Amino acid sequence: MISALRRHFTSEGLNTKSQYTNITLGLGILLVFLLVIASTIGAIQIPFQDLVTGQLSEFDQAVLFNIRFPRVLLAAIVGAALGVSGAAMQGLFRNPLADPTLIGITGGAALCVAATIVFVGPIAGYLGLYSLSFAAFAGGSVTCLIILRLSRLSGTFSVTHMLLAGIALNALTFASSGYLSFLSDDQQLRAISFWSMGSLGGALWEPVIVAMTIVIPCIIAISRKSKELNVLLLGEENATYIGIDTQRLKRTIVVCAALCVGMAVAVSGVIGFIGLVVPHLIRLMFGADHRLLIPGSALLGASLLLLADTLARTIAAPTEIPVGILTSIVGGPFFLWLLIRQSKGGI
Amino acid sequence: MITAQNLSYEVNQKQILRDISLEVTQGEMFGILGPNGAGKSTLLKCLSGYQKPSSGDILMDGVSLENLNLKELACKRAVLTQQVVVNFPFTVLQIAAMGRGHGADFGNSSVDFDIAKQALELTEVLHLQDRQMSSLSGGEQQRVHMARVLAQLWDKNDALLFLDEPTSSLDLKHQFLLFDICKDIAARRGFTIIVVLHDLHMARRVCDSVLMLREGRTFSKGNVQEVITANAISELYEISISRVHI
Repeated sequence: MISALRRHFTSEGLNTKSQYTNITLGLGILLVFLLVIASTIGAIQIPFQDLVTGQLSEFDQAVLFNIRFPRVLLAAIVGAALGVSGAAMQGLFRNPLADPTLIGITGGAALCVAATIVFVGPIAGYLGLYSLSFAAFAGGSVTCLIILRLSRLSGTFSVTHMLLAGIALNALTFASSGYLSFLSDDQQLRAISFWSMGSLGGALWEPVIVAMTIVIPCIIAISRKSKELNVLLLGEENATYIGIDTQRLKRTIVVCAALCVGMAVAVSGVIGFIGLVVPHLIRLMFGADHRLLIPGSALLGASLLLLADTLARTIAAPTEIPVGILTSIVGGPFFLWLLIRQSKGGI
Repeated sequence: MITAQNLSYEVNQKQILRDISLEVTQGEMFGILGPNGAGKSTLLKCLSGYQKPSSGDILMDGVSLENLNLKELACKRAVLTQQVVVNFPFTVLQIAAMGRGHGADFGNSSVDFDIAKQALELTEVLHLQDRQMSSLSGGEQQRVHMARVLAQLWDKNDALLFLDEPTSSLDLKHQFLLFDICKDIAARRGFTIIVVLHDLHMARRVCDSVLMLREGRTFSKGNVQEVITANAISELYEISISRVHI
């Protein structure tokens, strides 16, 4: 059924563009719908009719504006950031298994955040969030460049090298983060462990604003490169022959994707597998054209993480499961399935 | 059309190409021959402007390659590389249209798709246009990439075409088809074609002149009938002359 759907969507021509617009619009509507639903659900239920008609009690309003809205918006933005960075990385590495978490980019970002917390100390407010984001960005982009380098050690690009290098870097960053927690005092330890579980708990407006100002420009920048990303799938050499400046393209993608990952890690810790699952779902349903894949991954990633986060905070109410645990439980088997499918040549 | 003077290329202090000079005139079909690892592909990469030679000059149409930017180069020459792996579900038509990636719309306008279709028809794979690239056989994929390369220079004259073992997975019929297309665009549109080949019979049949490489050096070069001789083959490929039948 899925392949029939895909065939329907991959026919060429000018109507492709309007088709893409329609799909993007559909995904956008889905996201808005989920945002509304998710903000009514929680420890304090807010009646849906009251929300739509605007007849909310003062208490409900306070809950909505101070707790729910920041929470659902942050989930959506982090989800969008993870979805887009996954799609962009997979385009850059030309392989559907290149997930920022798996290949250690998230780990690099997390290490830098932990280092900032320990050596600089927790800085509150906008300044603190921005500096954490940029620390995470620095860590993410450095690991990404290392992986790019290592995965072509043998001259040509190798998936095996990419994944193995990812394992090594993950181990390294994990150990270093662990050592940093060992060094840190009680207050720092609390800050690190609270953050490293991958949770969107305690979301305020500040991280929402910070995240938006970083993620949205990056998504736009990556979207504008989507046609060139398509050509890059032929390989760097062939893309160069066709006239694409691959060095500049790679730089843009690495910077934007690392900014997205860095921001996501800074505000919510390590949330895995969204970047792997989401682009794959879009490809499965609508084909691999980056003109749709990039905005589609942003919207679907936002919807999916919002869904996961809503589940995480309601499933075991009144306590919350860290959402990172939930996404990994679903994402791990998904990755294995993908691996089996790819080794059978199914992708 | 293209000249190279004293071309050398080394990487990690290993000399891959040594002091190669050649001149290919417009409309010519120029073959590069030699055993495995002789540096044929590297030479092609240098000539097409992907790799910068360590020393020596390359002039394309009288202009040094260093003075041409990527877009200008993309309108002057196209390259068919040996193996292209596409890991994502793209259709044949989408791949062929990527050849138009040097244009303003990176190969997404309706004109680009029209050209891609005509190119696919030329290499006899138009009937596969909606198929996933990965579901095609090796030979079919090679023909799609040939169509992509042709689409890149579709509206150009006097351009250069670099082909790296373009017939490696083609059946006999399509080997002839490919070279018929090459001959045709060389005659009608003034294309110059530089091709790396392993099949010496085919080289004798289609090339005007050839360069034989051995260990990165020029072994011999010149008119195809004069260069490809039993003695030369025997010496170049290190096989006994009794085994060479021309």
